[in-house]
Amino acid sequence: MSIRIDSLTIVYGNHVAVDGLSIDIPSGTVGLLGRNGAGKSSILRASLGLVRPVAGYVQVLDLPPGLSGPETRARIGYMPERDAHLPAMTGFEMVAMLGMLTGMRRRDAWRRSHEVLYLVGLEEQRYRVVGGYSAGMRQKVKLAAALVHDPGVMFLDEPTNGLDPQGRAEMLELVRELGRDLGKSVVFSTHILQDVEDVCDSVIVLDRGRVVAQGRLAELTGRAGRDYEVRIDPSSLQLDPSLFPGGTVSRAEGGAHLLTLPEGSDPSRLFAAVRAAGGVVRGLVAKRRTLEDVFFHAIGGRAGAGAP
Amino acid sequence: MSNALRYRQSAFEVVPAWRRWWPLAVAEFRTLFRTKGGVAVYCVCLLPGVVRLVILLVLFGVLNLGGGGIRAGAGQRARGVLEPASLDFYLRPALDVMPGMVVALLLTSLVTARAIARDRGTNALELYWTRGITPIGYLFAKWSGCCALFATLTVGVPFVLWCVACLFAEDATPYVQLAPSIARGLLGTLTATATWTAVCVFLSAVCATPSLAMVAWSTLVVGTDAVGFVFAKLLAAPWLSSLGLWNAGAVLARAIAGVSQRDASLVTAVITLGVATIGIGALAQRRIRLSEAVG
Repeated sequence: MSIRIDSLTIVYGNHVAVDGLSIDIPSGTVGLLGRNGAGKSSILRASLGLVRPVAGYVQVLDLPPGLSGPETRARIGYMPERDAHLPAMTGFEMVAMLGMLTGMRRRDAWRRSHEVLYLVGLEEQRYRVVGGYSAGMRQKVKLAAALVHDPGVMFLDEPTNGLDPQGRAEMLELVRELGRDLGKSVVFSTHILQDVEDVCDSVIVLDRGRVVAQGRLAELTGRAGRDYEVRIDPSSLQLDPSLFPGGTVSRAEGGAHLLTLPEGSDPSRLFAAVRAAGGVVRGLVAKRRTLEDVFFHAIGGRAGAGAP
Repeated sequence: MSNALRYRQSAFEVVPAWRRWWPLAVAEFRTLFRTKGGVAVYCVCLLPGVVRLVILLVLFGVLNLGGGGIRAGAGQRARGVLEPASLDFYLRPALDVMPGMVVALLLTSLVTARAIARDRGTNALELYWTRGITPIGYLFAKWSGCCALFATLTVGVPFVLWCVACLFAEDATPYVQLAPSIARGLLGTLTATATWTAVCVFLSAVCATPSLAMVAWSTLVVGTDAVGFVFAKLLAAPWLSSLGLWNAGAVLARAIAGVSQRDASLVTAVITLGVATIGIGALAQRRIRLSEAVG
């Protein structure tokens, strides 16, 4: 377990941002999803010790919950969403400076600055002033800065923001390596669901300060064999839901039926049922849920109703 | 793609707070010297001190500008106005409106006033707040770095001039005897420098952009001094000139140094500096908040 949140309540003025949230964020790469205002930033702030909760606590790694903000932040690597850099400094100086601000000795910070800049692929550009970096290089230098003090937990806030396709692929590969090769616990907050599907092991979906879905990505989306799109001739034929105990039947686009069966059910009884009703099954396609389906189902909305 | 083979683990250790703000203070001190333009600006700021140094060396006969007669003549004239054995000789370049305030405005506008506003402009504050440094540590680091740079002119230059006087005078006795007064004088200029820097750093924290901070600081210093001067003349109350931020600092520095001052009010100066520091500091405290980071 990388982060344990228990009965967390955060209030800004009269606005309750997080209301009694309890959640265990597992190790590995975890996607943190939610619409704007769902409470993602509040959880990050509370984990970093930047806001004082009204009730509850956040425990990072094995640190005691009441630890001071600076000591907690020294174990966490945070990559902000906004473009952020230290003015007039080179990439090397910026990363080393942020390492020293975390408490590293100058010699260690310099050594680690070289290493993490090499890791993210900025070894050639490390002595250039960050103000002159491209968007992709700035994202990478932010990631290097988040890594310089070798934190156990990393919060990456929209790390692929503003990147071209190649830069995005490189950034996602880096994020993948953080969890897989370097053993970091990565909390990955983004609005791009495809990025989460590409790199995350688990997902947490928040809505209005509450957890509405949580689990391993493979479990949440790996429902192949349970959802089916069925095409019947004639298309006007109605399927009787009572023939499929524990399942549901609904109309999909184009006259097809959407059949959801409980795990382990055999879809073959569909053929007999349709034949008995005087029809013929023309098509049966097992459907796989996407993360987008999971997300909108969890927040009770639909695609286009609000961005994650 | 990445080069993961170069990554090595780093051990965490609990460190005292100063280990976190010290690098930031050093970086702030060095800011001006990162560019050739900055070095040139600093050299310009040193000019009044260099002029005093030349005068000293001419007076002591180390520099012979145009032969002995000229040196003797220049020396005679100079001794009437500039007396190296007097404390005022060393404090004037730092505390007088000309050149002291002009040089200070040039330096502080380019470095101190921009210090925090520039960080805000590049979202660097979010990087700082999510590290191990607190807002108070950050403000202290910025203040100490800027103060040290400013003090090289207001404390360092007078001290160097006095050392030169002790070294090159034919009879060093009067200059060595001046040491206690010099110490008090430097303490005075250091106090004024620290106060001016604090007000400027707080103002930088309040302003949204570096340009706005530079204009606000220059206006505050020149404006309050102008207002103090006008009130002092209109109301025939010379002590009102201490309403000016620069003038108030100079009065405070001379008071600590034990230099007699005509028509100056130490109480007014302290109130002016106190109101400016506490008032702008309170505004800065509202603008520098941890909770603004993230999101």
